[in-house]
Amino acid sequence: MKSSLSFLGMGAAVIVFFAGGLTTLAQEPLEPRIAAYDKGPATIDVAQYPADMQKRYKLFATRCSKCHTIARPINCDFVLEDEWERYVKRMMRKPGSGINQAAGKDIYEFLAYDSKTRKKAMYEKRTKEVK
Amino acid sequence: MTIKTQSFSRPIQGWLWAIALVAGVWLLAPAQAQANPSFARRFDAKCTMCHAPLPPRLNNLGITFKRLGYRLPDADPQGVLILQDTPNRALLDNFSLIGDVRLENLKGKPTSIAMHEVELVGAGSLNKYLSFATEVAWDVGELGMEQYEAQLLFGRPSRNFTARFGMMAPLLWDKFGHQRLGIARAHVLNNRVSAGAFVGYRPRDNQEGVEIGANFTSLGAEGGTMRSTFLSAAVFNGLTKAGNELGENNKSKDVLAQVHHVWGENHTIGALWYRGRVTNIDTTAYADTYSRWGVFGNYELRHGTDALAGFMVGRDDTTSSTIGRISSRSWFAELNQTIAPRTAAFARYDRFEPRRPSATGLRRGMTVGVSCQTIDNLLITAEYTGQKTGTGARGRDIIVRAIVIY
Repeated sequence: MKSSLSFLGMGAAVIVFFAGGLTTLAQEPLEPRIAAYDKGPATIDVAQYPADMQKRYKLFATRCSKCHTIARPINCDFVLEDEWERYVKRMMRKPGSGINQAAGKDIYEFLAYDSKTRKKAMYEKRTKEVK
Repeated sequence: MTIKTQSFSRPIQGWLWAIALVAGVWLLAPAQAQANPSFARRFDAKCTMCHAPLPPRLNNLGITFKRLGYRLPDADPQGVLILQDTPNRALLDNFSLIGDVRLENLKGKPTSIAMHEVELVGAGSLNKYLSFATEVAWDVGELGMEQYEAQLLFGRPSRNFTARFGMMAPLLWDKFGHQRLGIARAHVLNNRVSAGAFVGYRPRDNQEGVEIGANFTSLGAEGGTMRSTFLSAAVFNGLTKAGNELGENNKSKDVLAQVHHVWGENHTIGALWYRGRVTNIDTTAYADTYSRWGVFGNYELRHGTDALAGFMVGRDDTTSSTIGRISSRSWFAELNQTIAPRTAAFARYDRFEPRRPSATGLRRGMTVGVSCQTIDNLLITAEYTGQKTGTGARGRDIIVRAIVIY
């Protein structure tokens, strides 16, 4: 049994040795669009937003920065309600996101409001395109 | 004179290593990506996705990710569980380099600063069936491969079977081991029951062997909740007289059975049973057997406050007629508290009690400390450990550790 286990150990060592090489051969580059979002501003000036939206912004900034940069949703080109609904629902389903129904609704409402305010021009343009 | 030279050269060497590491991280960090360790780089994710409250402690997503061969549990648009393979990047992005520098003030020894260890670690899934993990360490002047492990996975994301083989970390519930917040390991994991010529078994050591596992994972109805149950049975090569792995004189094998359940973001519970035998056929022939069973768990009382506890019972039988059987029991309780962003405090009480005729084996300890991840690539930990043995001897260690990771 001992020699069999050692043989398996050697097999594992060989796999590990080749794995280092294999992982570098099949390179998958980072998505440039997402990398560009990540490099943008990481905060929103919500001083002029209503008090309830300021509260929702805090929730958004906390929950939506656990797995990725907060700059990603801030700078992405989603503006329409449908897009945000789909995106927030997708995030809610992610294991470990900790975004429950109530938090998801608040985050969605903040993002929809922020798109109409901060990204107003893009929002109006995209709305016309959809119609 | 020789002692002076040594005590002078160690600090210089330690600082040089630290400067070299920081410079290395700065030079190697690619400009277009965050200078995060390997998995964060490859998934383009933040540390907090898999670590809570701080690295290296894993949350339940991180535990499941690791257990399923470094495949990330995710949900498809219909809410069905899927597993994402580890993306591959450039060579320098697929591996992490870790440097561990320590300032130590140990009782009875002069204060010193030195490079404790440098590690190169890499792990990931190669396709939907095969994954690997490796760890090469430079430790006190010696270079060695501490882990080399391959894993096969068959089945659906929600229900699958795994086979791990190679030199592996045997324990599934590992929050007091590789994932500990502090520096000192819990006694339950680190202390041995020496019996006659055998230095004794301790659960923390990596061993060569094979493990078969069954894993069950399900997603909750809402809120990104997930629960997983892992079952495993393993056979290892066992230990040498000195307690190391792969002894030429040890012709026996060890077995380990475990169950581990995780739910919510951070709650866990686990149990293990280990049975081992160490033989020596030299002039001091003997055949000791030892067994351990234990239960461990943690419960996040509220966000940022985590209570952990573990209990282990052991039985060591030796062929030495003057010793016979030694029963032992050990336990620990730990409290973690997030006190600021990226900063957590911890306090742990340890008790390790081998029931010998005299109380020489008894060991109690209190560990308190604080750990801070100042930036993604730097983790600083300060820790005080006080210990008392059954004979009344006291000890205390103060250690400040900086881990630089690329």
